[in-house]
Amino acid sequence: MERLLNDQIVKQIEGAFHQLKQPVQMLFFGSGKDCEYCADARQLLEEVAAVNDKISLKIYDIQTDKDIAEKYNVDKFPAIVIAAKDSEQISNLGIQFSGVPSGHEFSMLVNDLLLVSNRDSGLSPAVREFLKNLSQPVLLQVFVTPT
Amino acid sequence: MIRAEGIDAQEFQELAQQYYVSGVPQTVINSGAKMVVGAVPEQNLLAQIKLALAN
Repeated sequence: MERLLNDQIVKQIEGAFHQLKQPVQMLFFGSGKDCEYCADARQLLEEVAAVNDKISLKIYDIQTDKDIAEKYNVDKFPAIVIAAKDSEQISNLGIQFSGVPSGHEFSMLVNDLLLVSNRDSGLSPAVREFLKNLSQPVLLQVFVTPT
Repeated sequence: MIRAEGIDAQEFQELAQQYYVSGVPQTVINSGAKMVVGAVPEQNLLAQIKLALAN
């Protein structure tokens, strides 16, 4: 299959990935049926994971790996969970993207990988303090478009 | 306790329509308890989260 990322983009993300600190685990959830863009999304992530050893990728099918999808609260496909990885321990930080991360969304993916790798949200102390004491779940769904 | 999900509005049009997404980015807090249109500073988003939780 033809590559999705050209040499120039690979070079750019190679540069960005110099800032990676800790390992990151991407979990891809696709579907063997009724998914027009799952193959593209999967290939894109495979190409990204190949750029740097600190990024690894696991491939799941939302139908056959239902338990894992539920564990990570994934209810759409294609979807990507970006989790922290420490030795073999994967920690879900609740960061997810639903859709194919192309166009503008591709830089969001790269930023998310860096953020998770640094293990730092970058939030202000006041916001951290509030969030630490949350007693109810908060779901933030950010709608975006690739263009 | 906190989950953040980026969603492609074109790929998941039905969901986008359900929340009347007309411009991006649009942030939907707790399935519509509050909405934030545009990219806003951290403090503004926090204020909306607080309102969503107070509902």
